[in-house]
Amino acid sequence: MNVLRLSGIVGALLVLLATPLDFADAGTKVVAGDDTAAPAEPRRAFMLRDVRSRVLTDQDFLGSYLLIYFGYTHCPDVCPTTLLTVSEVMKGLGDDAKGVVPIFITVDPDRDTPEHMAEYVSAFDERIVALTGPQQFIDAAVTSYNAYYKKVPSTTAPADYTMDHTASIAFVGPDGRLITRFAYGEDAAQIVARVRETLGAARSN
Amino acid sequence: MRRLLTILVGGLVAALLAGKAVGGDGLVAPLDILIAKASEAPPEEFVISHDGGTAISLADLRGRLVVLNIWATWCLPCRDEMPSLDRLSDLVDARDVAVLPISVDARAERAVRPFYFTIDIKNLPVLTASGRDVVAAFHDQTMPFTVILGRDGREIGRVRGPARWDDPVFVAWLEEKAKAAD
Repeated sequence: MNVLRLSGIVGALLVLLATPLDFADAGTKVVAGDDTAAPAEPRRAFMLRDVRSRVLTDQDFLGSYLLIYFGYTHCPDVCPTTLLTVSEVMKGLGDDAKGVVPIFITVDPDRDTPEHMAEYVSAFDERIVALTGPQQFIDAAVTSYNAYYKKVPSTTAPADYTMDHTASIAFVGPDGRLITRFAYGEDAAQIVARVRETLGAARSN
Repeated sequence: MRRLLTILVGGLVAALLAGKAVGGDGLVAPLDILIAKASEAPPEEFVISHDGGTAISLADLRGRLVVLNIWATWCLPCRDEMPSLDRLSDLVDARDVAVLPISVDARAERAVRPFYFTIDIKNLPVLTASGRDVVAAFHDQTMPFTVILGRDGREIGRVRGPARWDDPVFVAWLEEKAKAAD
């Protein structure tokens, strides 16, 4: 564990706890460090808040497999059904779901309040961890997973902007490294099979 | 046939005159965005649960035109179009046309009823199904989407995204389809 990195995270954590409304400078430090072991595949860092305002970082999830989806809840035209797929995957995994944490990270923190996100994810699966945070922290997480999002202004009503965003699901290993991405539209059964395959391979090692 | 044509052309002219026929609620008329289909077979069967109890299947609905709306309470555009679907249900003759919204919410019975109550839905039944089954049957990953099933159960059209379902041109189109000989 890189000491600088740790102190960076602790520092950012303190800032996050002390001044919940002003995080501008701490945001970029979180992703500054990466693993020296495999520079081609750095561990993907993030620091965000869940709907109960608990600060969670990538470190908190080490040891679990993650299914990470970036999105937003205010779909004005048609809604993507990716979280529906995630919930079907969790159901399909049965007992194997114990080691898997589904994470929904909003790219629209202005409209996705913690209360709204809590209600939203509970319509899919109670196990989904919904994360938000200041824009800079979200941007850091997005960059960390090579994801993408862009605000698309509405021509008629400014409050009705839409978000273009990465619709794939990142499948992350217990070491924090990306295993693969499941494309938008991929069948829940296929994802279950792929996750099981990975879990099985890890067990037999 | 001529009447149908008149209705369709009339609708088209009205749509052109009104731009995109967007109502005060910001919704478009269904026929403006309907994708006509001529499916060779009815969609794959799946279990639709009525009021958390009785299971019904698509085959049970044969003989009537069916407006099957796939939605969820977490889907904002779905919520927007629901009042117009409720009004449509009141406008059509239930012996000819069945208006059936199917929720794919995870805890659907608990989610749908309070939502119906909140927006004062009067005519729509509480119907639920598994999201996986619905996606498998219709190969559609967006929400909302609405399929129109002919009296023989085959899909004749699909609308992806929300619409204003009580649009008079659409109501006339439905009645025409319901009365037309097979």
